[in-house]
Amino acid sequence: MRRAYKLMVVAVVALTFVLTSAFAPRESVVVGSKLFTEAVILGEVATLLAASNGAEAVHRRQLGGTRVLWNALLNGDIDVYAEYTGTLYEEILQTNPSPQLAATLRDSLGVEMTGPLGFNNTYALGVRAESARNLGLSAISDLSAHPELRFGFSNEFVDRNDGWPLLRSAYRLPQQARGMDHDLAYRGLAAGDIDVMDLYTTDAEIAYYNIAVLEDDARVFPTYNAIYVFRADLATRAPAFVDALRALSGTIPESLMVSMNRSVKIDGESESMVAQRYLASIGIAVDAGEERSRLARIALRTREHLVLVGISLFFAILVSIPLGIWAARSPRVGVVILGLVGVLYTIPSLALLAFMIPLIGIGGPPAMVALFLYSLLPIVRNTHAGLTGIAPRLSESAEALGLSAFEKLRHVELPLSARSIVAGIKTAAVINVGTATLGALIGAGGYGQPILTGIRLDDVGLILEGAVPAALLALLVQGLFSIKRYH
Amino acid sequence: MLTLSRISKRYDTTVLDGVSLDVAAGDSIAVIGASGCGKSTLLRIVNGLVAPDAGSVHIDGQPMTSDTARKLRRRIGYVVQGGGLFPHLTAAGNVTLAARVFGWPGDKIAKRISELAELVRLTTAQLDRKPDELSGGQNQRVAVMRALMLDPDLLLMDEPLAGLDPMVRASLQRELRELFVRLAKTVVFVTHDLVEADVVADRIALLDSGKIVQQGTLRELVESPATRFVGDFVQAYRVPSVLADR
Repeated sequence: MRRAYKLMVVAVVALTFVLTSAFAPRESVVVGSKLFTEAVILGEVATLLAASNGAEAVHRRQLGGTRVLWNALLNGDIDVYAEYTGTLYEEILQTNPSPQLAATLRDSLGVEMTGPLGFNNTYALGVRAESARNLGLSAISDLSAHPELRFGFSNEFVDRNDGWPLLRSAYRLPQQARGMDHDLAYRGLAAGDIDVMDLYTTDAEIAYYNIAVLEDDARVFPTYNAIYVFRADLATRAPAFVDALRALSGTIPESLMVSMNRSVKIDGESESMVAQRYLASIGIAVDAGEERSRLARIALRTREHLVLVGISLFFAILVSIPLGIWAARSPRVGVVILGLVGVLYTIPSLALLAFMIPLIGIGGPPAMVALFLYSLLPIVRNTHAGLTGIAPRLSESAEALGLSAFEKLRHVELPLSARSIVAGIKTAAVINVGTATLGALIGAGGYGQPILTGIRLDDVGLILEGAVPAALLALLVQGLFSIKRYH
Repeated sequence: MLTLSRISKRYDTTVLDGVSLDVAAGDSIAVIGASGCGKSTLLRIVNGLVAPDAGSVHIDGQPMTSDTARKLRRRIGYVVQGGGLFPHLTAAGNVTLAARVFGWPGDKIAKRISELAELVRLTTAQLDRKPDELSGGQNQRVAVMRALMLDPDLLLMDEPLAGLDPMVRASLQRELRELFVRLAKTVVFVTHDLVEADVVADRIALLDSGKIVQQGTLRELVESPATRFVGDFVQAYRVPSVLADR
């Protein structure tokens, strides 16, 4: 038993070191992207461009909404992402459009921007072509005469200053709006569950679903010229890349962006492939490498997932066992410790991950901290239960032999509690494997990444590519711990 | 060797009320009394596992306090009720645990364990088994071995033979008696069985209502009981017939 325990500790430590190396090489350029396909394509363009200019580049895909990306940029978690001028004015700076935008960003925030890429992806409202015909709708102002129409808007649009609030007051619209996922809104509109939705004018689905775009006749929506924003220090770290990025200005007209979006969303091509073809068309040959095979992708995700689970679990064990011992030693402290780890455990995973972003930023570390916090309860509780469950006469016998408190703990109490402690570690490990899939939401990678992308692209195969290995890993972890018990 | 002076302890339902007792080196005494009369608590106090509310314990003139307890305990062998063997260790592991922790060299441990195995009649094969693979009587022998390992001056035994079947019990009583005489240990032996007390120890101390009401040999207790309780207690065992057998 004791040898098995030692062996396990050695294995966990070794594993941790091997896996940590996965995070070790600090990428010199980190590209971020928002949750929608166009953002991911532009992120992929920047990533390929950085790589072709000699930088180690990594793309943290679909990290979140505007706030998450902007804060990640200011914190240095990412170096560059694609943004829209309208969003900068309305949502981030909350000022009126001015030609001084670039100077303001540079001087007060340390952020640089490229010139406009060439397309204006502004908001628009859309209805089914058939309802446009039947109701005689051609402009947004026509909507006020039809209060019965059901509005389904993307969640961000409902909340943004430049979104629904502005629109409603400008056009005096009587309708209520329901918040929903943008991709689901298209399906809802086609199915007739909603009648009006917000659109991005470069969305490929507009043509695909035969949607009539209503004219913004009161000129309410600002201009959303696509640009890249990047940290000012990138110009010294990767000057060639920054020059190349600036040179993209004016090379993506609206028709091209619509067709790139269609290639990914409708035709099912990868963002990387589409980005590569675009760069080739403007004379930049990039070596995107071979498209990773499904197996290679799973292997990469597995490694990321194991790093998240392994490191968080390792530190949880390191902290929880002493905490459990302390709780067992002193009942009054025990109540506090068990209460605290219990409360931590009840925080919803999504909320905990969201709390981590302002504290630690994005990527692996905040996800590991969240997983670490979740792992505390099962291990602390089982250590406590194991120690307090030892028969009093055994504990008395150990003391009567003249052993010190530490000797008694080491030679008698911990070995007697080992089964309970190992069961706690097993519970924590299995829970971690499942919860770690949420890490993808804050850019930690792992099996959650294909699930997230699969939801965006409505691709069940991709969703399973994350879900099946996650389930198998959970079973494997459970199995490993069960085998150990028979030795 | 062992001196208890006016020990008092209120402890749940158990009450000790001014217990004094002297045990000379090499003597053995059996403390006897009804269940729950505080016999086990008295042993815990001797060993420093429980602090008395009043009174003191001296071992070879040294007071037992929380500061001296750990050092003094290495000179005290203690067999708790039911043996208290550690289920995760083999019999040998149980016996040698303290010696290993205290850094005895391996050859010294091996020599000591073979001496003791012979003394308590256990085989090497039996010593390699875990407590749940041994019989009740064998486990008691292991517990005695563990208590003797560090060659203590004082041996405390708390109902070591409880729960064994009568034949095993009778033979172990005789063996323990021989052991005590041969090793010349000072022994405090707690039991609720008057016959066992007589077989195992030189002297019997009868505990009632938190006080030692009489000390002496079984014959003295039978022939001149100090209180009515002593008379009733002795009666309950039909001791005259036991004495007649000897």
